[in-house]
Amino acid sequence: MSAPTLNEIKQQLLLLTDEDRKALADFLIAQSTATAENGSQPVDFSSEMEWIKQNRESYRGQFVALNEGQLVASGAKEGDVWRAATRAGVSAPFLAYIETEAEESFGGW
Amino acid sequence: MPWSLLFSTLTEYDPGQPGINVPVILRLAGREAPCLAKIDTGSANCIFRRFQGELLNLDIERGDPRDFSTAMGSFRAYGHEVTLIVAGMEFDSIVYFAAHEEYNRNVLGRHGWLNSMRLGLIDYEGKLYLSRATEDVE
Repeated sequence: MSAPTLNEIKQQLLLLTDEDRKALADFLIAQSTATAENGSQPVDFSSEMEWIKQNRESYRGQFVALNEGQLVASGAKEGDVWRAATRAGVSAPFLAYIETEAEESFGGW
Repeated sequence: MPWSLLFSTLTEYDPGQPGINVPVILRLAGREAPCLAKIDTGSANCIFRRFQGELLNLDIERGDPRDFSTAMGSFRAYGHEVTLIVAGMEFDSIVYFAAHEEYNRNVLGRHGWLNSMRLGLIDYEGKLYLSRATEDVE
């Protein structure tokens, strides 16, 4: 919307009654909420996180490619794992490296 | 004197893991690279594995070079501007990608992520509360 048009609307708003202004405010809030809900839903990776929690011990030292909470591919080289996942039809798999027990004892930088 | 903070998002993580690992999406020009990353308040920057940058079709060595020092030595990484998405919150950030493939950690550090966030942590419950730093939560 161009600035002059917005200014025109603002001028019109000054003519509204308090009741109409409140109704307009409610309408704008509802529109904003609907846009937020429909426009950019956060991707939910809770099933992938649960898979890692349940299967970590079996895949230590490996990369895993997950999709919708299911293992698609695994292996020592992430490039190979990613390619196997894409060959299986998953265009953007969730990639995670499952640390070995020694790597888990990370002392920080 | 008590203090209270309000947050817009609660993310749960596995407190049984040694680090605080959260799902992250890196995005650039329509390409997305979902991965796992550790929150590290001791890291000055966000640093990711080289492969994550390659998935975004980045020419890693054309980024801003920086040598990061650790207690065990140093390593080189290259900074690139990408979109970083954590718990649905998106930021255009400079993220560093390690030069060497042997570097196998993804880290969310201060510049580029932590300094854009309000963060609350209850580690024994595995609960991470997040908001944008500038967000008014009511």
